[in-house]
Amino acid sequence: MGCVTPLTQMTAEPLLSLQDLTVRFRLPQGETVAVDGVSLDLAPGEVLGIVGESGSGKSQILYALMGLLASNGRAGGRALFQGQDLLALTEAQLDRVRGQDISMIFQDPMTSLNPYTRVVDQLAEGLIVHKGLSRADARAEGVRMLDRVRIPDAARRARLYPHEFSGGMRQRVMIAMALLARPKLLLADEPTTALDVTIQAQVLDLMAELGRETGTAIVLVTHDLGVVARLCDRVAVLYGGRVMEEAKAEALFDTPSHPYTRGLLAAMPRLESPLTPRLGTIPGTPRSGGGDLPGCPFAARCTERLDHCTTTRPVLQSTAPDRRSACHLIEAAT
Amino acid sequence: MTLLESRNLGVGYRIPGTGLFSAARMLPIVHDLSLTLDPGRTLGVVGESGCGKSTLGRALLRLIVPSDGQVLWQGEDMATIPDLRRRRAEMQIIFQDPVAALDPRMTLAKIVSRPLATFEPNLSRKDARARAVQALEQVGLSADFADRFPHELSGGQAQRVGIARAIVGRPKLIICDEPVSALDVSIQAQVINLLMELQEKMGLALVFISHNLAVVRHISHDVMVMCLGRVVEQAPRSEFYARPLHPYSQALMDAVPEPDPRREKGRVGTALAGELPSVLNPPPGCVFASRCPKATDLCRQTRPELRTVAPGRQAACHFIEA
Repeated sequence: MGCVTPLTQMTAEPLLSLQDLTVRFRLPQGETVAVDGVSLDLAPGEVLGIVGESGSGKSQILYALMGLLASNGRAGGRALFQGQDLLALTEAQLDRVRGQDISMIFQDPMTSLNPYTRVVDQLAEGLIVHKGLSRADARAEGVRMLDRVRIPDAARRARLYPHEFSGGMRQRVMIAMALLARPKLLLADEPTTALDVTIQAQVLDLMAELGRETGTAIVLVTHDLGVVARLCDRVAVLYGGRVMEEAKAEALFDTPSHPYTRGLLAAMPRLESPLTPRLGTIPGTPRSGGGDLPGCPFAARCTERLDHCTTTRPVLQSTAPDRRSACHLIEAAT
Repeated sequence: MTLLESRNLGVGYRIPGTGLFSAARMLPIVHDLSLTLDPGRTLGVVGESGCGKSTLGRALLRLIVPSDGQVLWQGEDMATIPDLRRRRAEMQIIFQDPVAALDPRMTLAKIVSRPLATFEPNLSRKDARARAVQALEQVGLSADFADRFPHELSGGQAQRVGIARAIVGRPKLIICDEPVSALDVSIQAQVINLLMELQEKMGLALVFISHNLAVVRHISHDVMVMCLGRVVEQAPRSEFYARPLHPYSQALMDAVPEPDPRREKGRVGTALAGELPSVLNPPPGCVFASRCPKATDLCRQTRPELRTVAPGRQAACHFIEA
């Protein structure tokens, strides 16, 4: 199969373009901003990682795209998918996009599957609804896909219920389901966080392989920089609902430019680097949202803070080709 | 002197029989497990979900009564220690979900001082509170946290309170059961550093149970790898990480994604195939045989014994040269 997108389109038009995306929640004590003006582009077939700690707003970006925000949540800005603003679609229009052009997989594969329905029927449903296949054809296609995601003895296992699957197998079922309709875009929200490392490695391999084969673009949301390194072409680091830094994966890990990215990398214990008596730390606690702050959301925890970091918001701007960063320090240096 | 020792420890849970009227069965979780821990040292226990590492942690404190073997506390059999409840001041535990481990209706001062009511019943209420405040300060929480409630805390702060409660009785040992798994990376590093500092200041021994090999490398002196309730490898930290000997340890190590895209992209496609066998239906041979790339018929039929394969190193594999 391979990627069928013509190169001209690759360079000319992104598959997905977030333009000043915001997500706000109404709460009894007032409004809170979870995602605060995020702009990101995704090329067809590209794998973009969105990394951040809890409360950074990373998952809410995906929920906003899929129209899955909690009832007190509201998305603003634009999310252009093939030129069409997902945020402006009606529920019925969105239903034609979801499961067909865009699929999503979630952190907890157990609660994402229907416990009362055989796995094969859950797989078939999307094909019957979106592609108009007969039940028998859809089931056969479902079994083929289970085999494809390396569920051993797929034909027999397809007739089982989700509780009869292990966690790793359930997540592979979710991936099979997400990729059945050959979507152009796969949104993955912490897809391997609930899995053991050996199973995580299997699932990540599978995502990389299937993504390459079908040309599906992936947005991977995770807190784990190791997972990002394994799968992603490009990375956006999120903090307090804002993009702190965006770069090609190699560049980001080789020369992290934002103090927050540097702090995160220093705080990660490694298997191979020389041991230090203490891990690097970022003082304080991750912040949820940052919309009500005049300055940089990370300023309160930043050890390299300048005077105007708490009063003036740094703008995300290009610091090198393919690289953007939102930090006054970098502005001062260039 | 050895602080904690287990000799051929076995732990199981009672589960219902297979039929409606059949008798309850014993489901063995930990098999024939022997370990020693010296004061001031950290033993890292690594393994995947269901390998029995948390059950082991609880059995070492006799929070679960072992079905087999012995646990010795400073040479004394835990089964016969008189008034063990009070002796537990010396051996404490902290948990994975730090918020669930705190009573939501108690202030932090009450939560942290509560163990003292058991361990030092003659202490006045005022002194107990002073000790609690002191313990909170030791874990980096100022005195004004004393009258707050758990819901006001972040995950990292809640875990600090869990640690304060563990150290308030001046223990010699803390069992740490996945203490940083639920925390953000930046907070995880703070808590690991705190545990290492407390260890140095108080001479604490730690049993650090984790699925995260990189975290275990950072904090442990010795490492023990468990698979399906059995130890498959045991070694000093630096030797283990320089060259893991058991194929299961190697597979675990290979599976950890490191924050290095060049290395990681080159490893795509190297994941282990196969599924973890069920605890309910353990294989007769090696616990890792179903997933081991080197497995032979011998491995599938005969269980390899844990044996010394190098000075200070033990492994349970038919194919490691002594």
